[in-house]
Amino acid sequence: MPVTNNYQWTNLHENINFTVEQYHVVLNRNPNGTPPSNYIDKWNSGLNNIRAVIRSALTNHKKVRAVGGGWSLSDIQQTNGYLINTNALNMIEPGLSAANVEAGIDGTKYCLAQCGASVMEINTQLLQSNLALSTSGASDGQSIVGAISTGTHGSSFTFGSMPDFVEGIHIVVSDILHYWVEGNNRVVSDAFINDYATGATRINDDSILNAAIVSFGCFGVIFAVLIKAEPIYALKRCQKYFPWTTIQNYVSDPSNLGNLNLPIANPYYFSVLVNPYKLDNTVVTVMEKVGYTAQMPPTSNPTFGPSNDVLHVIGKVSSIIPGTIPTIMKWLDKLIRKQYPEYNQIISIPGFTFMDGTSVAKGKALSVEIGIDASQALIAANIIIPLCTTIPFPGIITFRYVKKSKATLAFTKYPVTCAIEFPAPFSNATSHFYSALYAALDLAGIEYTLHWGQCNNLNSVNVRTKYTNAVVDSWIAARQTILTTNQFQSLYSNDFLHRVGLDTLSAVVGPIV
Amino acid sequence: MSRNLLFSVICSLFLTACSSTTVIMPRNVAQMHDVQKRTSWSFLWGAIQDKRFENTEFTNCEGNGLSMVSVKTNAAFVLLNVISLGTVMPIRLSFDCAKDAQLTPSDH
Repeated sequence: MPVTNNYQWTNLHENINFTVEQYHVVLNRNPNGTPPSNYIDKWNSGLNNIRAVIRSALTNHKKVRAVGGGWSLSDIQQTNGYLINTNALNMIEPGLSAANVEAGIDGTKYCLAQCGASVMEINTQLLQSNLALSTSGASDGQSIVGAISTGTHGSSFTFGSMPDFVEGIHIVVSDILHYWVEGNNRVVSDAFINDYATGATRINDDSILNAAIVSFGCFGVIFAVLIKAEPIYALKRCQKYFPWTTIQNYVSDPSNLGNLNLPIANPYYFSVLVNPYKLDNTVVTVMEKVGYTAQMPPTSNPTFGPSNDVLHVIGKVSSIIPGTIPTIMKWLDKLIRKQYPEYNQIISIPGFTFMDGTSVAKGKALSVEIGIDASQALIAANIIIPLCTTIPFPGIITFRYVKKSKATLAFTKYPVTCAIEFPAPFSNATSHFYSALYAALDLAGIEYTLHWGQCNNLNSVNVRTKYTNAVVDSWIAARQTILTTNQFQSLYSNDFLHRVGLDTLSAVVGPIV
Repeated sequence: MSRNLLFSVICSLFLTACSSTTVIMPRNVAQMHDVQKRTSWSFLWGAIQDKRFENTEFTNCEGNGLSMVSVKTNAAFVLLNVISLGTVMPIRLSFDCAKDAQLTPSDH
């Protein structure tokens, strides 16, 4: 398998880069590089190659991290040891046979995916089986495990976030120790384990599954996930501009959207995009689920448009002359409206609605996303928007709504979480605004969480304040159940985990497996 | 002071300004997210060409071929080109491999 020494890795948004001792691109290939001769052998060749890297790391006392699409903006991927690029592990099996599931389970609704499969690839495969993901993020370029492990969400206030459709995960800890983890109820059969996770220890425990699904690479290498999909559906979406003075009446309670008189009968998705320097035209998007009709993938209409370097230039200018930010943002409003045009109705399947999964550099960017109880959204907005006039912010603000997740450390932890995101160019001004944002919310006594996969100021103290000691301790206990020895716990820890106080070693050193 | 500020802004824009064109395969060709970046050099008005990218191990991509190619130039490259009267012409290449095509258990 391809290995590069002293490799400098950069994430897609170019705000995180670090050098690793070894960078492993792991493939579904035999050790000699040839393609395996049958499907199961191909599946297991990828697994064996992951094990080989972990064995080498254990032998050489190095730490291990796995990365997918590199979409995260926080330093959760960072290591100085061995970094595994899992993107080539992209096998997807939509619909499990009756022999592969427990009696009484409808296997056709399940989809097994290797860790590197992108959301886009999974959407494509599910469509061929007349299935769809229950929710996804705004883009589809993330690897499925990367998206789940950081709690990626859409704006589905009736479902939840991406970890909520995961019902099984295959965690590899060492070249010998690996687990198939499900909730309390068994989904897959022993025959399935024999084929796809040979020798794995079965765990059926809600508390372990719920901790492991949002664990940002710290429970071991998640090799595969079992997704529960739903019958294919389409999304009817409507996008309109409203003044903030109107929309502020809805941000704390998306259940009364009917009063906006949009042609959407049963809202499933609601988002608001705000340019804090042009409050007369916020972009409101509402969607509802409707019946599926066959569609062709949309194609773009290539023309001239702003490049990703525009983001870079705005970042530079706003760093040097922060005072120009309100003017720049007013200029950019036309661009924003071109990107988010008004329309009454577009119907497309989820896989064609949430797109842009390319690995082309997006331009240097930063983003913070806070999660607050939706009932507090207007109070927070009334702090945040005025803050942009005192501390210039060269970005936009979006409000999205997500039902409570089952994941132990989900940042969408409230009955309905209002996820407020602040994407912006990489700039000193952006960083200054984020610092002021945390301080303003803390000063106002607003309780909030922070997206694990975006920039944050999480530390060992505020993680416990935000999630409570009981929740944090249960997550650590679950990690110690999977990582049975101090050696394994250290193998999958990094500076991020230490900073947030989640790398606690178990008191009793277990046997070395 | 304002002159210094203007100078800083212009320098900053000059250093960051780039121009790029990207070719992306259709959605059914998934990208590896392992983007390789190289600078390609041409000399003597293209008489000497950089052939390091022709049918190499890293462009073969395990037999899957490329999924994305991007070419990029910047102000420094353009300046070098002008100063050398076109005899030195660098360009920045980025490319990404395609992943394996999807199989189902019945494909074998």
